[in-house]
Amino acid sequence: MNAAMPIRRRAGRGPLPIATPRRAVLARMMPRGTLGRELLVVAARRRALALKVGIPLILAVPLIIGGAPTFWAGMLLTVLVAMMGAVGTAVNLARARQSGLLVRLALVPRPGWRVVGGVVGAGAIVDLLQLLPVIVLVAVAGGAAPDQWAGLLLAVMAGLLTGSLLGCLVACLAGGVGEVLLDVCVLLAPMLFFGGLFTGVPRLGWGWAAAMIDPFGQLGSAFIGALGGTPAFSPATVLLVSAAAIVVVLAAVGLLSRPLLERR
Amino acid sequence: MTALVAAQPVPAAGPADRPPSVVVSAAIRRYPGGRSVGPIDIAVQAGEVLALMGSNGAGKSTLLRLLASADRTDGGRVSWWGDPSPRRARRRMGYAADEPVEEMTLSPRQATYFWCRQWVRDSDLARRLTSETLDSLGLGDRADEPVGTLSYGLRRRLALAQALAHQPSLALFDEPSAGLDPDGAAVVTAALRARAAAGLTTVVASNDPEFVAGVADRVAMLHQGRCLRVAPLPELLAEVPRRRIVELRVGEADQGRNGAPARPGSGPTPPRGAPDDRGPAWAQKALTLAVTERLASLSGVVVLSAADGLVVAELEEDAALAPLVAAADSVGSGVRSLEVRRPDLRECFHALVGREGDGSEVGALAVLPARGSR
Repeated sequence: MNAAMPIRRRAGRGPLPIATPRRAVLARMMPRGTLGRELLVVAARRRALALKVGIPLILAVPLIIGGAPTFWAGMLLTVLVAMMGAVGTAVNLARARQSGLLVRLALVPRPGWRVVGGVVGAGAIVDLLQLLPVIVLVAVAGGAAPDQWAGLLLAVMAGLLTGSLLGCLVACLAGGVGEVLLDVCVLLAPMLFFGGLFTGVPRLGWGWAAAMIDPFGQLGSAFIGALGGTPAFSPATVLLVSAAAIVVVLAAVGLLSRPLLERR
Repeated sequence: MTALVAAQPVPAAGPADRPPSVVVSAAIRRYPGGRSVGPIDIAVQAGEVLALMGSNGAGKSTLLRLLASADRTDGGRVSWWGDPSPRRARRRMGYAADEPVEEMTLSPRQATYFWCRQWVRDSDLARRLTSETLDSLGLGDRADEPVGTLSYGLRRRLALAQALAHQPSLALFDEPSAGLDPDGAAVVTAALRARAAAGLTTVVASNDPEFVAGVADRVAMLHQGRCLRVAPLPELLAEVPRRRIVELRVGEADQGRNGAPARPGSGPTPPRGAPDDRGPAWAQKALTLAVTERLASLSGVVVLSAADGLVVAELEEDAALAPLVAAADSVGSGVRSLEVRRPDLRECFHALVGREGDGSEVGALAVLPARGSR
């Protein structure tokens, strides 16, 4: 129970949570699968949810209001999205393994991709919700065109899911929650580098091709475009590659799900 | 849940006559560092409650995980209803590990419904099963409060509810009575016996002799990764020599945590001749040791275990108690209480391990909880 939750006392019993309308609504919701369960758990943690929305804004507002160069602002926001997706998923799954939840989920007669997909999907939805204010702020401040809005939204989703895939991989490899951060950085750093986030996207050659197929390269480009800078890829390219990346990532999560559940 | 399981067809034959629900054949599980469990051969009959007993590290939880298909064997095989496929077996199983797993913000109803829905497609049926299971385990009136407000014992019951709600043909529980008060243990015992009456199979790993005696049809005694004996409870108890077990409590009763006296200067009296300036915990150990040595010198008395002021000894059936008490008093212990009982599963385990002749019987027995310590 949230420590800040108001309580009442009744004779012969311990303190009980007051049946507020919000809590009553949440209490009536019955989770059918892992997606619903994870969303219900997050919805009940009101303070944590508020913090989750606030933290990206703390980073984004000074960048945008301070008029930071679009290349650096885009890079920083892309790293933020990648870290949120990867660390969030990896920590969540590592904790679930330590608590024994993954063992029990491995024993349910459901396909692995549905079980793990629910956990990863819920994480991505919550991450997208907490990034929405940042996306709106970026697009409004940069005067983004509708295709840039759409491209940015899809690229953020692809970036979050790609981060989640890396998080699943880390959860498969890492021994515990403590190892997760280090392992995530080891996997993310080359992807961010090949996405051209630190050096810019080359005009031709293998560097350009790597950045082209890297969802973080597309996301960096989408942020730069939405902030009013000169993007490396057109909004149509961002849309197309991000959509393809989402499909590939979901398939990869499905393939990883059983090894993730069965690993002891 | 009683009404629910009663609605299912009950086989006429007893558990021993029914086909096995799960068969373990020469199963081995190896761990890094050379430790291994097995080879183990065991068959769990349909409709029985089988208890796995043994000291810590004996392999109970490992065997339970193999039965639940939560772990793979490194040799041998496990088959469920004649089928070695874990994937198909999982459709009919329920498993609760020794630690409750739940999000504190969900309610018991939501948490149980979630697990029930993984097996039950019909949402109305899942709601009904959830409510009935929570009621049967005494959680009905707390079903809509956050799990975080429940005590550890109630969360243990919730873990069982989550594993039982979908009415699995084979349910597996690791230490189901741990953390439960006597009422809670009785509720869980009743729920598991109701399952057995309905022809559903249950395997529990437990170190609680009273709980096992109340719930199990058969008991498997495990020691150092091997199954020493599987037999019905009366058969096991009949094998224990007809002797009396005496539990002597010596020293001061008013001990705080970690052996510290609850009041200044109220520590146990050290044995005569022993220096008493090393703290009350040391004095209690020294006293226990002195009483143990004194009792061991008596003819016809075998000291089974001794720890923290509790000395458990075995006596001949017709031996008098007075010399025993006098001997304990003679070291200045002050016998606080004395309980005489018949041998139970603890002594049975002791006898089996002693027969193995590895010399670790007293240590193995010491980890089994004393009567009333739950």
